[in-house]
Amino acid sequence: MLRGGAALATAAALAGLPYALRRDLTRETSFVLFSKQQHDTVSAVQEHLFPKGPDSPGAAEVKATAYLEWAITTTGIDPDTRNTIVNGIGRLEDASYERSNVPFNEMNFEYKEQLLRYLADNTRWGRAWLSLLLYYLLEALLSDPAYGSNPGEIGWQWLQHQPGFPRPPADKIYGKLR
Amino acid sequence: MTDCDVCVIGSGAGGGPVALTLAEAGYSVVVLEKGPWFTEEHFYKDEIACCRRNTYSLNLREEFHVVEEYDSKKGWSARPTYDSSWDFWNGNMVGGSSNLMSGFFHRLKPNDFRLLSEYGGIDGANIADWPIGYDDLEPYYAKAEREVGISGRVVDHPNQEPRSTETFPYPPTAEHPVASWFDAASERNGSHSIPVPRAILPHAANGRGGCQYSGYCGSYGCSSGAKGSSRAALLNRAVASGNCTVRPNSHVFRLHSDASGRVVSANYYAASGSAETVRAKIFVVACQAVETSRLLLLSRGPRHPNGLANNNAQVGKNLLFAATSGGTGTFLYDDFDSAKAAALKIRGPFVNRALQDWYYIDNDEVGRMKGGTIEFLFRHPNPIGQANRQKWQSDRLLWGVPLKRKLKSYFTDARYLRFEAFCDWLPNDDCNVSLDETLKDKWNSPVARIKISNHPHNLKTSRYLARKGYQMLKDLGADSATWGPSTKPPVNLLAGGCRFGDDPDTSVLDPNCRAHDVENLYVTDGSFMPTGGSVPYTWTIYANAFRVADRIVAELGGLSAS
Repeated sequence: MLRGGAALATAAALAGLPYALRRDLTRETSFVLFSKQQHDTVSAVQEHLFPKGPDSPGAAEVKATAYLEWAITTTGIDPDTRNTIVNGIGRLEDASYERSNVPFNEMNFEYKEQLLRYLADNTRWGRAWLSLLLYYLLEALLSDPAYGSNPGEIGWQWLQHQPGFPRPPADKIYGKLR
Repeated sequence: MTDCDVCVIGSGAGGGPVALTLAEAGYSVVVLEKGPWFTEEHFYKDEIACCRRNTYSLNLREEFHVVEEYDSKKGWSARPTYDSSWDFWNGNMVGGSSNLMSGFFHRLKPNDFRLLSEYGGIDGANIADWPIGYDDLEPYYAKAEREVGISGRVVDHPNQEPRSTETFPYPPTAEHPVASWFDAASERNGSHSIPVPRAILPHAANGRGGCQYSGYCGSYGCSSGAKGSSRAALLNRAVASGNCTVRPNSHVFRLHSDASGRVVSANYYAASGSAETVRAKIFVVACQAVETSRLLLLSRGPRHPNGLANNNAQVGKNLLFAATSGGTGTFLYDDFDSAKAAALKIRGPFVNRALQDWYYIDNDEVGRMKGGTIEFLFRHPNPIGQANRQKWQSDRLLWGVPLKRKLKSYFTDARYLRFEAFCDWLPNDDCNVSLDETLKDKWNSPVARIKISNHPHNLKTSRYLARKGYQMLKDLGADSATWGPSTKPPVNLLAGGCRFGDDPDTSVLDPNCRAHDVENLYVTDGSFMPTGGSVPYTWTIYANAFRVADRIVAELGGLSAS
């Protein structure tokens, strides 16, 4: 049972966590930071914020959840940012149960939209949290595929973005340059 | 007993010319640089590493500044930069911020050296003439063209400053088709299109590669060496001379002076964390304006109880930014025929155009006053920052299909041409650097407190220039355009704090940029400038550092036998 215990689970997950990239981003799931429930919840939020379209990638296609986990566990992340992201998942779960007594990822589209819109427009934490999730989602969409995100340049192709050169090899991305 | 002839603290545009000149003259030089030593092989076009994280900055929780600003409701209030959007570390690495500059290079003009005499005083502004004139600096502007590698094309226009050479040593970098549109629009509206000199090599030279035209330049380190950073253009050659050592990851926390008032050593923390010392005959400080003033204020000694070179309480005063305004034109591909739309989409070559028709203004609308430079360039291609701005619709977060539609339209329907206008940032009593009385960095040293006040005249001039820039965007065919003065000063355009002058009561440095009250201390970054002129500062910093370097060589006895 994760509801109500999300904050504790978060604290346990954060304890002793090294600020370093510890896994291959291209793997679909691995729970370095997020528990399975946290992972499922944040993935559902990301998919709602950035759904796949007929000619455009969605959050899953750009590996948004794996990227988010990397982004908030790698060198230099502001602890406040990381805590805002992780704690927000718990607060959303609490809000989901209060509203409909089911986890967020089991809600239908309309309920998800109503809840997220309410949180964005009426709560300071919800607005900050969703803004951060969108930011990292857009990083996943448009960062170099060397980060494991934007696979096959799918985000760049959708927006006709022409990258610069030389491009970073995987062993020279942020966190590995020094 | 000394370790070297000259110790240079800071390796950017103020330090590089001194290191190269002294080393080539046969003197031993040690350069102490706070940041790491990146080279071309570390620089990739990676927006995450470059621009979304602090690769070239510092951890603001550990090393920060305190910024004090005025608000009409709250009055003066101060916040540390770890708790705000400010970041004054502009390139923490060997070569400093010159690694990351765009390299739009303009000289000052003769009237910039005598702003007070030419235009008179303005209430609330500490305007002063320079103790040297344009003619004193002109040979060094020319020297910087050769040594740094400045490319361009000289054209005749009403405000062209005098030159001792007919042409630039390197031809212009490749130009985007929009440059010819600009020339034509300029011809039509009666302005004078100026090809912008760039500190970028158009072809390989002097062991450096030529520009690769990747479309990413400003904010990025250059992977070919074409950009004329202090590191690529000067320090590599200084080291190759055999007379210069660069010590990266060396944070100088104090200059130690003796009972006579002379500096005897620079004390620094090495990468290992151990405290180290360099003893030298002459010390040159070039840490960029804020940190230069801070280091002097931190360096108290028996003859300098209030900080080195600060016996007249002038260090940190009259800090300068650049007064700027800007605007963006939206050029819809559908507004142009297919050939022009295709041309508009080309990435890589530079627009390289500016207007200086209003560098000096004298008309019925605003009277006679100093104006400035209007630079035109494409919006930076970094996609993440641009995409993130699309997530807001007024004050409301967008997501889902509406966000995706907006992103698609923003990125694929138009190209965005910008202008940036530069004019004088008037020095004033409320714009300065001091030591914060309570907050310290991870080295246990008081951090710099930066007080910022934007004189109303800056806004008047900025607005005037912005309207001209806006009109040019419309003349070029923009579907819509924005314009306005910048509300916050640019943190990468810093100068002042240790102004030079003839009078020790009102200046820190003498006309040769030697401290009035410390006989073996020079300052060669932008700190020396009493006023900043209406252009980006880097070319002037390079030129003046070459000028001062010649004085130091002379002081040491000319060319060394070694």
